[in-house]
Amino acid sequence: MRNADASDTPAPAHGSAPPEDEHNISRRQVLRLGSGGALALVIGAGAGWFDRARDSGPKTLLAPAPTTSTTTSTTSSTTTTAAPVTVTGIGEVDPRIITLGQRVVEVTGEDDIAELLAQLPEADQDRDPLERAAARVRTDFEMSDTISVDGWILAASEARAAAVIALFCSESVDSTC
Amino acid sequence: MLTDARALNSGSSLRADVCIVGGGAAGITIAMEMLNSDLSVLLLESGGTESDAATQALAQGESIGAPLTSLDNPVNLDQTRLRYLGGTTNHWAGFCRPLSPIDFETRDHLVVSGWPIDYADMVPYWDRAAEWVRISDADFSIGAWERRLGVSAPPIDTLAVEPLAFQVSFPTKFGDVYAPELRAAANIEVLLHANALNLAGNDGQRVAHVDVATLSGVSFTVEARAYVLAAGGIENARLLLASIDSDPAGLGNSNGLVGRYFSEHLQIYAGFGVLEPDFGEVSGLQGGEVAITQGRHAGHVHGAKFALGLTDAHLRSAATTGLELQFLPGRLPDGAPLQEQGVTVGDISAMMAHTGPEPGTAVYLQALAEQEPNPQSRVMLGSRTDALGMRRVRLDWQYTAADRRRVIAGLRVMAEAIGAADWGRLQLVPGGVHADAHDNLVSGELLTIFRSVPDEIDLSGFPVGVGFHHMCTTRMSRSVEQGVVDADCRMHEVDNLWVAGSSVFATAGTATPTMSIVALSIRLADHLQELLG
Ligand SMILES: Cc1cc2nc3c(=O)[nH]c(=O)nc-3n(C[C@H](O)[C@H](O)[C@H](O)COP(=O)(O)OP(=O)(O)OC[C@H]3O[C@@H](n4cnc5c(N)ncnc54)[C@H](O)[C@@H]3O)c2cc1C
Repeated sequence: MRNADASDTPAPAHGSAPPEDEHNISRRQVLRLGSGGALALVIGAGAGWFDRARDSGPKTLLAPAPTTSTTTSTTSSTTTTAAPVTVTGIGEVDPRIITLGQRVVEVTGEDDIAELLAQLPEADQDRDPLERAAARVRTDFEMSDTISVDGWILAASEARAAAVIALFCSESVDSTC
Repeated sequence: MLTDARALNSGSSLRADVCIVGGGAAGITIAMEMLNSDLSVLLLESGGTESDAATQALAQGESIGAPLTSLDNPVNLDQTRLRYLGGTTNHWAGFCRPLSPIDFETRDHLVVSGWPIDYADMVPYWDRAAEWVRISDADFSIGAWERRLGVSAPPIDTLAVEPLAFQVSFPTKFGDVYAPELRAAANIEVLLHANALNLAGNDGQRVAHVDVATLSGVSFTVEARAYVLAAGGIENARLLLASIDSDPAGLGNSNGLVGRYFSEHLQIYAGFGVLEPDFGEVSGLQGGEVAITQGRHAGHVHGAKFALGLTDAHLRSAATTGLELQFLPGRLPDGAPLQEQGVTVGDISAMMAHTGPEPGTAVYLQALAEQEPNPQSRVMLGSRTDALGMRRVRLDWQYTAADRRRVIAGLRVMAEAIGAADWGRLQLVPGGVHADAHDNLVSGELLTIFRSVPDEIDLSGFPVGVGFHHMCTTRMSRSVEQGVVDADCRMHEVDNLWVAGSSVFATAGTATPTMSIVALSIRLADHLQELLG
């Protein structure tokens, strides 16, 4: 399936080459392609998005869903409890993002979708997922929360989101995630 | 006037108010500052007005320390400086930027640091230096750079990382540019093919005369009221060490500091980046041209480039040393480096389209770092002699594991600042970067085919090239225990001998040195004119 704001623009199939002019298209257009929108959605909407996507397709995966709990009256923090959710249909994914995600998994050893998702915080649902993703990535860089993958210095959230997608795709029964 | 010393009679004794040894950026600046003054100036230059192999061979020496390389290619000592009028400016790249305020400060984490002068003491000289090196002026602010080129700086300006502006002198060969005025000067005589061999001392506290020889066999002496050593960062130390009339350790060297703290700029081919702006924009950021609007070189065109640097505030708070990063859009195949392994520019571009800026250009990263002052890193004399019987240089260049760690940490800070500014992503692959250096050196292009091999990343042993900047071998200091020259560039131990050039830098900083060499030379010329005038 396509992501939420998918249009009629054809999405590249998993495994096919990206469009030639990809470097010249706008961010919004890129999202519409759907090929990596999942990445932004994983970061920007987090596990909640996976939750909402659970009924959308035939491919399923069990993953714990993060829940939020308030710990004291003055401070709050996000904690995770393992509750099984079904994650489905993250759409068609640019193969290059899967390549990236696979390397993240190899390099970090983090290969559990649930744990990876748990490290992506519950997102502010009022904002556009893409904006949320960009803000989250910027914050990671500002906080030096970065991961080095083959020397690429990546925001932890974008690296983990790529890993989630790669893992999800590797579990899927066909080649389209 | 320009005179060929080979035509002098052997045994002559020449006199002048000021004797300058060396006709490179430093020596020529001092002479030009004294043009038409009441002082008579004699400038001794080893070479002629063109390069010749026999003279150039006098610059050969042995390197016994860290390998001298550039782009993986070995570099010989005689390739790193040139011996004819104009000196090494005959093949410098022309990048100009003054030292920063932090460079003059005492930094407790370094074994020695701090100049006996402040940044404020240098401010009056930057504009005058800009004129000699033929750039617009001393405004190196990023705002001035934006105005001059009509482009916007990258949106990176954090507490730790800032954009830096370079002005690029389209190589101003000091010999070619200033020879006509030197030739016509009534009070200046430039003696070509004249090699200073020895600063003959009385009691080690004054120079009595300079012994000079030509390769053709003429020898003579020069007596002056003031002597200025301006033979370059390595040769200044060599001449002092070779001047052993009153002390076998050399002139002005009772504390053994002459030649110590030799510093280079560490040059690291750090990796790649995917940036938001497209190639044209990055090229524009890199290579705009600007016409000088005022002064003796009005109308002359110079370049303007940008880099990123660690801020002075970060250097203080992180107790680290300086680092600059340049982005060079090379002629990369399909705009991306050859990547047989791991995550590629293409993979990152796909990701960035959704989490960051739209990818526009693949660039390669060239870092230039300050090394910590290290007394073990030094210029000495070897046992072999040159064609004039002078002991050759033995260079033991050393940098430390901590230098490498600081480079890596600084690069990571920069990569994070770039990500936070939504400007791109960097791949840091020190040790795993390969360039077609030969093609680059021969064709003069920006680096061409690059390969990144992440499996070869070697954070503790990555190759470090030279910046061709020889610094700190006669460092400036408050006391004779810490350095060789005082705040006026006068030798602590020798009353009538001054030193010009980057050998007097107390610490290296990251700025390319020539702008500061020229500014210090102007300051020295003012000082000498006041003293002798
Ligand atoms: C490839 C390369 C690129 C560079 N790029 C840059 C750059 O982009 N920006 C920058 O700031 N710097 C750059 N530099 C460094 C720059 O060239 C030097 O900082 C500058 O030339 C130093 O000036 P100087 O007068 O101290 O020494 P030099 O220019 O080396 O001049 C010394 C002079 O002394 C003469 N001499 C030496 N020994 C004797 C003797 N015994 N008797 C008489 N004469 C003697 C020599 O013949 C020479 O003419 C570069 C250097 C190289 C090699």
